[in-house]
Amino acid sequence: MKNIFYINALSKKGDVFLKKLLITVILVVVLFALAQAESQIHITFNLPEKYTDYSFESLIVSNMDFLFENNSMYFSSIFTNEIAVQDIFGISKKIGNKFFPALLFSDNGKIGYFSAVKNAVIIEDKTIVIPKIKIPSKIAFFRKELYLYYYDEHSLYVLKKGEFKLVEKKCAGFAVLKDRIYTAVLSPPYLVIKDLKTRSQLPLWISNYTHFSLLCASHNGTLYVSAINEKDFNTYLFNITPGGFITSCKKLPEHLAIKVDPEGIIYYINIISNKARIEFLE
Amino acid sequence: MKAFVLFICLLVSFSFCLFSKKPVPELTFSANPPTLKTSIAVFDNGLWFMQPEIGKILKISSKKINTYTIPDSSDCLIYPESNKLFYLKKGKLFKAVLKKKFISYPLKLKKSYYSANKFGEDQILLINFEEFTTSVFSIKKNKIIKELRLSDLSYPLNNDLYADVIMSDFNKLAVINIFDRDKKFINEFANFQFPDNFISKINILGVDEDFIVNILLIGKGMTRIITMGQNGELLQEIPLEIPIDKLICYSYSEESNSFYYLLFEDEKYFLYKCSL
Repeated sequence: MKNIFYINALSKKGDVFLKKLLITVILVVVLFALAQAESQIHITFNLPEKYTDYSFESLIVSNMDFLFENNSMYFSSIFTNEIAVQDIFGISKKIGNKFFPALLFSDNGKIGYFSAVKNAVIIEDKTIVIPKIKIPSKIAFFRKELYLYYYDEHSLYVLKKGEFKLVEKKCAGFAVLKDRIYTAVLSPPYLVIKDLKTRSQLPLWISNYTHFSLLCASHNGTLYVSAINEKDFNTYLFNITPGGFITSCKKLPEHLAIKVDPEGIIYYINIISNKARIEFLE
Repeated sequence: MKAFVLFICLLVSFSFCLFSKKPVPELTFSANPPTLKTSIAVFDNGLWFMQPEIGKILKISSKKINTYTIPDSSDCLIYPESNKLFYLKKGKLFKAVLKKKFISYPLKLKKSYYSANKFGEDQILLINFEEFTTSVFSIKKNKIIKELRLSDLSYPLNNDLYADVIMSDFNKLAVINIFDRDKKFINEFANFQFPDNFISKINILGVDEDFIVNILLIGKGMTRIITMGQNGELLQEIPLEIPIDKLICYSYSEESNSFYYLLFEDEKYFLYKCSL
């Protein structure tokens, strides 16, 4: 009200400059508020009906997975033996029976999955049988080599020219960034970020957190590490710069599983409402 | 009323100019995007910019840029005054002389190391964070002179004393303790508590002959260099307006008693200087 009063008062006196200045300030404030609102946009996907029939407590990550790719959300479940996809307009479809798909991944826009029946990685018409009979927690192709991470064993393996080799022990996740693979290694009190090629070590000291997991590296080099707070048992997400500095420590809402894609988009499945909620943080 | 509004506008403009005064970079250059061990050293009016993982070292001055190539390695340290370079490749330490023709040779070490830090004047602290192997390599004697039981962050304050930095309470508390050679606790040198903030990193930058210690504290909105006396008393505190999401690395120069830091933004590097 005061601003309007001033504008009116000033215009009466004909001071155009001050009027413009005040309008500019107001515009800047409005634009700033809009920019803030923009950064808090969320998209919520309803999970396919069949999924809601099951208790989410039993559908922990190894049994159900989700992936956001090409503006669509993909869901897979061992229980329903299918992969379903839903676009941002809410249109969903089932993509056939898929040998009990346990884990989804994308490789250059193509959606692949881990088949619990075949114990193989399937992408388009290609089937790659994995010698280790176990459902991995994360899969990625890197330079035609297949990397598989097993969370409960804290181990990272590579399938290279038919040979299945252990790459990293005490591993707390891995991330692919351009021509490099970064791994996180547990070495209390440090979490050591490693460049797999040169084995460069970058130690991070994050006290009173456990269950570290390197989720992703975004295109701008930011590393995303999730960890559980020892006091409140909530999951927090740490943003780590390429220089090894922690820039933020954000408490995540209650969720079933969380993912971060190379664009830095963080998304998760809401454990309460059976909805997949995408949160844009960058 | 008009005069009052004008006064307010002038005050706002003045405050805006005062607070938005950005530090001017000493140097701006383009190079490969940051790697985990990108580091800098400032000597002889020039910047040494090192990216061991891709085997590139640049010597940048206002007039020209010299490029050196080393094998892809896990870490490297440079001693420009003697044109010597040490780098770690596959856990082994190599010594090299930076001449037109690059000459390097491996040094015999029993253990494997993947991280190298300057440790005093002519020593290198070699670390393997995964195995907690911590050894001191003497440049003069060309061999490992001692294995340390201290954590990697222990810092030699003088010939007899070492400092250790411990973070606790969800990285909201950092304590610096003093130990002797046998890791016998002597004193708590300083502690820093930030109940509403998160310490991203804390480093002892250097100690002078009078036992004056410069400590760097990094955290969003709380980055500062603290100078402490030999009893832990606060002598000086310099707040630094560093955008840590753009901060890549930093270097302390005893020669000029200055702190240099490197930012990366829009595919370019910016070097800033802060005199202590």
